[in-house]
Amino acid sequence: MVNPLQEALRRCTTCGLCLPECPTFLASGLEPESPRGRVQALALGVTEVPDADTFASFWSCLSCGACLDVCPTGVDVVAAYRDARRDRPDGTPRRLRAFLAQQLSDGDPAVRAVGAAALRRAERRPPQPAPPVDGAHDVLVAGDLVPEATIRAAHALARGWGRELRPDLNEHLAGATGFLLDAGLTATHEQHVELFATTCRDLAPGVRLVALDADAWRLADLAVAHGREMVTFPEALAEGGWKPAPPSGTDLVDHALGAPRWAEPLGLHHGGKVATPPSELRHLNGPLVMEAGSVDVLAQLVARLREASAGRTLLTADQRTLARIGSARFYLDLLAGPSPADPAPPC
Amino acid sequence: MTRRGTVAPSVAAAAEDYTRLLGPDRVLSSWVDRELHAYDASLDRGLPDLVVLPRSRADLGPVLRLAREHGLPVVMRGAGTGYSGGAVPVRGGVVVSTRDLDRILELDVENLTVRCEPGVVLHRLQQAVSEHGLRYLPDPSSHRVCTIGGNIAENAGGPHALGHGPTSNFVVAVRVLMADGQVVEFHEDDVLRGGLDMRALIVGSEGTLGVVLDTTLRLVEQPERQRVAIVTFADQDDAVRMVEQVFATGLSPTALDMLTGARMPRVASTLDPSILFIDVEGRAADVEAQTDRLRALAADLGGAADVVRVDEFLQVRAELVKDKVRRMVGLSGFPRYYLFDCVAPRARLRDLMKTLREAADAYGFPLLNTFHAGDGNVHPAPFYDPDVPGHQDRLREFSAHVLRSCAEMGGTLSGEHGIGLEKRDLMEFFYSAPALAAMHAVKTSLDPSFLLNPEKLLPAGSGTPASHRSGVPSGTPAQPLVLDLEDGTLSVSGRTPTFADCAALLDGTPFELAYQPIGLGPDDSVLAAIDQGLPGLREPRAPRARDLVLACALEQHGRRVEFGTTCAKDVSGYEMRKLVFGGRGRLGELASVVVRLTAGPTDTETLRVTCGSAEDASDLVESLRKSGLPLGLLAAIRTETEHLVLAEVRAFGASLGTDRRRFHDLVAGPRRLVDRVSDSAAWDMVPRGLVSYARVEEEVDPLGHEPACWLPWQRGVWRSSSALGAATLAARDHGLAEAVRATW
Repeated sequence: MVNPLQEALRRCTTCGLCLPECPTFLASGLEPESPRGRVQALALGVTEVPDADTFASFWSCLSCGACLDVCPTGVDVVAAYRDARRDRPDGTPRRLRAFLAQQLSDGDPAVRAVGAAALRRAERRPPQPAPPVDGAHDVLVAGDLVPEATIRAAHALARGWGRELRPDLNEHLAGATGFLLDAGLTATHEQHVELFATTCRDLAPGVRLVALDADAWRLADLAVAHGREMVTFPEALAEGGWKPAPPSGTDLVDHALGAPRWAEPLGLHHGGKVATPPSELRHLNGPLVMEAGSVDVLAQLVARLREASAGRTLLTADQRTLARIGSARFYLDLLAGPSPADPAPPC
Repeated sequence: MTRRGTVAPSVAAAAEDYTRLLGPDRVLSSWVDRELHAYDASLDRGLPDLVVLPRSRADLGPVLRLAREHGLPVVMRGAGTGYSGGAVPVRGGVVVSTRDLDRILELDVENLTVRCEPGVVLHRLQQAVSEHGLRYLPDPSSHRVCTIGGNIAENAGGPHALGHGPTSNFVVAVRVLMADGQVVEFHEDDVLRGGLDMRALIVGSEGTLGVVLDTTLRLVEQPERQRVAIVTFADQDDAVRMVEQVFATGLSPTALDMLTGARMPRVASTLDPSILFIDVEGRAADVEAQTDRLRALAADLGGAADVVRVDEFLQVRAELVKDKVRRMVGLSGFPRYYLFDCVAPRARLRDLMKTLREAADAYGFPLLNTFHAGDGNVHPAPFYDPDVPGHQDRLREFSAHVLRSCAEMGGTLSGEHGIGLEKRDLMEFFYSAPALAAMHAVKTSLDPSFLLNPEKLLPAGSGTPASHRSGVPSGTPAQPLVLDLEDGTLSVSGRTPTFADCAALLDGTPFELAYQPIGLGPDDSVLAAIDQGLPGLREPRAPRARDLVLACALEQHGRRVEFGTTCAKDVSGYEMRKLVFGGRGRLGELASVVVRLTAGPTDTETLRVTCGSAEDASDLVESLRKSGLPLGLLAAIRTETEHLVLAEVRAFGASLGTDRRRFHDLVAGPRRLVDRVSDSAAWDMVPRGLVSYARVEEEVDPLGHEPACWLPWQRGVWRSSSALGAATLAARDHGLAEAVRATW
């Protein structure tokens, strides 16, 4: 089996084509905050250094994958870092802590929520006492920016398949099925890891994770690493007996929905008339960056997605695509029929 | 590798001083930060002692002063995407990041210039000017991240260097902090006023002569139409044949790039095709005519052509290159490539491709080439495995072998990557000992203590030349004029050949010599005009006369020194050949030059308009400027008795069509007399002996009462009223000229 870290080190030619694609490099203008810098730091064995402050950039990679797309030789920094960081769960450096603290005072509400949780972990406060978790139920994992209508739709669908969702599991991972808001869409990848590790640790064995949207689905690999299975929401629905009719009036689906584990239970493989946007736009499904330097790149990508979806109906699992592209529809809205609050009953 | 090694006391003291100057966040001295500034895109490495991030241009003076005081060399760094080790601090010292010197200072839409700081990212500049319908054309593949400072240091090129030239052609002025702390602005007009074209010397000097504080760059207008023909050939040599035919038939693409099929060692052929990308831009009718001819040419040669819009092209090319590289990684099992830069005369491109295939077989490296075929500027990319012992040494042998072959073919050592560390030891294969000594003299004259980017560009030590060859044949050429139709060059030796001689020689070929010096006429000496540095009547529209000089030979005391080749792209060492334009004998007597020829027009109309008054002439110039007509020449001229406007419209590919009528309608006026004249007759109407140049801004009435010539795009006026140039400029450049001459 190929070791992603070794493979990244072997492939990087230090050409620097990744630099302008990297949100953290654009925000900082610093080599250590670039994919090339990160790979070279790995080559130096920085990750073996006990003090993570020696190379704070180790934690600031957003795992958005934009660098992989542009890299001629296909250096996968995300994969390389995922392994390296997994081995160092407690290494949150001072610089990141300062960033999180700042977000608590002047970040937007969504970031504040995430920041609080991550900071708690970063400062190694004792975890909140968690009631035992009932292994018979699932946990739904959702991204933030979830529109109220979407939550209602998910509630209704889940109810139809005999599950009751709790509104928010962020603070109390009580033994019931519910939403974990803010997951998957956080300011830094490190926060993903922190939050998700917490979630996975605190859940009883056997509890499955269900991804409601593209952001949450990005955590699937991480879930497996923590011994958890994650399924897509359409898969969960299908297991519950849900047999949706293929959505009509759609000729374009985003990359998450184009993947088999979304497409097949949604019936998207029928007909074969749906397309996905150009592949280089797939990292739009990555986490948002909260710093000004990324705006330019993001704006260009969004403009290209708009162009690609002009005159078409884009079916998406990405909350941000929903916000950016006027013609996009969230897949649940289609499945749930005309009124999200009153979905068609499942079989 | 030493980790967290102890820091020398002198460095620790310097770090303290820099921290006092810039603050702790702007001085990076941890071992990781230093290691992460030890590389660029080349194979070379060099660990800096410190990395500093000045807040503004004002910090650069003190940054340099502290380095001088602590005896630390200074290496400027933009994005670190250079391919020759230019930003690698091979002797340690201070790496100065231009990250925060990133302001676009002034965009002058009227005069088509932009002034900016060195840390501005090229892509950002391109976007900023495109909002005004303008373009900045140098486009290296790293354009999304590389900086203007780096572009100036390396004289960056890119695909469009074929039609418009490299960065140097676009630099109007550059303000430089010299090693001694002085700030000097080098302007393109210096050479018109009696100075040397030091601007051209600074561009491409790899940060070894001064630190760029800011620069003024020339912009060009968007073309009416731009199309890219993507032509696919199963056989590499057929693609090269198409490249040859494109120029032989008088087509004038602005970019002609090629991507070869994958070459696996000792495998005779693969199914992987070679692809040409041919960019044509200009008048809509010309573009359509040229793309039609490209399609026909491709069909004749067995290629498949697809003509696309330019935005599609960029996407297609990026995807193709990436796919080919990734496929190569998968196919060969070699995960990494080493990309370098070599140049052969266009006529020898086929030989260079053969050399590359043979070398790939001999050294056992899978090979892809992605390159600027129209310039003969090839970027071979052999794939290798960094974990295989000896692979990197063999790569260097591979590239040295290819580059020595280029020297034998009359090519250059670098077309756009520069020399840096990577190629300095190969300079001796391309330059004679006196030529290298002259370059050493430039360095020691401007940076005697080797403070700025030491050990770059010039071979280590003095060395003995291993061989000597140059595009200009050694000794006095047998013929005063030698025309090379394959490369599109003309070699001119001695003062005898005139412009009329050149025109006669070029008659019936698809080429022209795009140079009609102001103040001289068809019967004057080409060499004399270049020596005097007289600009052409069509300036500053590309190509400028100064940019046509590809090679030169200088003589002094019976010795001869040569710089340059017949290749259009050459950034090997200091660009000494550029100093002979307006050199006025100061570096030695100009004995010969090789000039670049360009595709001539397929249709042209030149009008001489006698205007009723100076105001009328001025009005006509303005309306022509704004007309959108394909103007090749626009000049306002005052003779002893008349106010004239000379204007010419040109088509490249089609006929002028309705533009001819529009042109005539536009110049017609109640008090104007309009005559059709030939191209050379128009030139003859410029008063002879105009030798004094002044910027228009300094004049109330550009044309005054004396005979004069005003080129509205140039913003300058030529007069016969006074002697050449400002004494201060001559004095400024005197030291350098003396130092160079003293090496003879």
